[in-house]
Amino acid sequence: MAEYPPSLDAWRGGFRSERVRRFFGRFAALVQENEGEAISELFRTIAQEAIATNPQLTVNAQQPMVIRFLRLHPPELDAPQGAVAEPMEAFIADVWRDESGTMRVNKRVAVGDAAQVKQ
Amino acid sequence: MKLMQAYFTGLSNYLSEGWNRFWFTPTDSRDLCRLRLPLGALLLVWQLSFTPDLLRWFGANGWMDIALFRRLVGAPTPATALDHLSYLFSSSPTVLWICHILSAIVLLLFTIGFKTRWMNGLSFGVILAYIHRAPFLNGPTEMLLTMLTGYLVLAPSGDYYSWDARGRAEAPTPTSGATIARRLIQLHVILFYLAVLSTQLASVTWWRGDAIWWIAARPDSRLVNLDWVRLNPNVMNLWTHAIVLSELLFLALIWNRWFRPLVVALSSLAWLSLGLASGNFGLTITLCVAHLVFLLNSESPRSAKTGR
Repeated sequence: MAEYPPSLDAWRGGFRSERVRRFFGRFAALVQENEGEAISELFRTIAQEAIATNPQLTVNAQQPMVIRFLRLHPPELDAPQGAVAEPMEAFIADVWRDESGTMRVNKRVAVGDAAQVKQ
Repeated sequence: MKLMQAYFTGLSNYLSEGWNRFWFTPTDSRDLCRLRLPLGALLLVWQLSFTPDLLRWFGANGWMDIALFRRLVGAPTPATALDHLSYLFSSSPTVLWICHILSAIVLLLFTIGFKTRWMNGLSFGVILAYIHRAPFLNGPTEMLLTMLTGYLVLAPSGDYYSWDARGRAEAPTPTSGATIARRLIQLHVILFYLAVLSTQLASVTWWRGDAIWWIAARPDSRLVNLDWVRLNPNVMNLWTHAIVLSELLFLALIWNRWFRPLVVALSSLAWLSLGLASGNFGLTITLCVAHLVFLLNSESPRSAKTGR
């Protein structure tokens, strides 16, 4: 599961952070429910590795589904010393199965943010 | 036979008179007008909390863009706003921002009581629009806000403490609408308590007395570090059981005008403590606002003494 953004610590207790937390929890549950352990493991792998090495993954196809999830940078890992991280820095990866059932991953920079994906 | 007939006739009259008295006796709407103020402020804060992330959520490439909405909800893209009770199904940032700003203006006007009846209805539409646009983001807070806003439409909530009330020469007349709105809100809050309590009592952690620890141990949402609770089982048990007890007392005594302020205060404290442990102050504060419908009404001991 993608990690909770530490840069939202300042907003804890409010509607904004609760909304994000709820979305993560429900989305991850839906992913797991629909795709089982295979995609859950994929989800964890992608979240940990920052999708740079092998965008094509082969998984047993069950039915086509577009899965979109977030990986949120822990700013202390990526930001230069003293930099102020933008809240909710993220990239979005679209993961889907093509007609042959091959899992495809399309990585792109998050809308509105100048997030740099760590390679 | 005549005795039985007389009994059932009397019973029918008693129930019907009680029903009419409970629901339809014209009452003053002052308490609902007072409720409008914190409710409107809460709605405004809730809606404005979308502002930093509006395009992140609903933009063309947002986290809850229309394509994902279709996938998750299993529905086609709405052709009109009425299809899903939302006007936020647009990918254009300009349109989204205009809708967002206009929505905030509506909620502000509702709060200050300008054209209150109209703004109340529009505010109900605003909250439905955001809820239906992103069903994945909703929780009990949104349910309570919708309930309060929707029921308040039935009452003249702009008769007092509003822009509309300025310079009014005559005192507003009591209405049945105020009574109906008040009773609906009260009953819905009680149903909410019943749902919460039944869920808690179905869970072994609440019986065992360590539920508050499981709530406080989640690192992604809590406001303060409550790890010390684990080392103090007595505190943990007392805290857990006190929350359940406060809810039981609320349900048992809320209709008694003398115990009402006490159980409302106890329940509010319990929910505030839950907010501290869970980090979900949105729900806590919304429920405390909902409690006002019990405290401010004409049946409180203070108003009984003053005769209003």
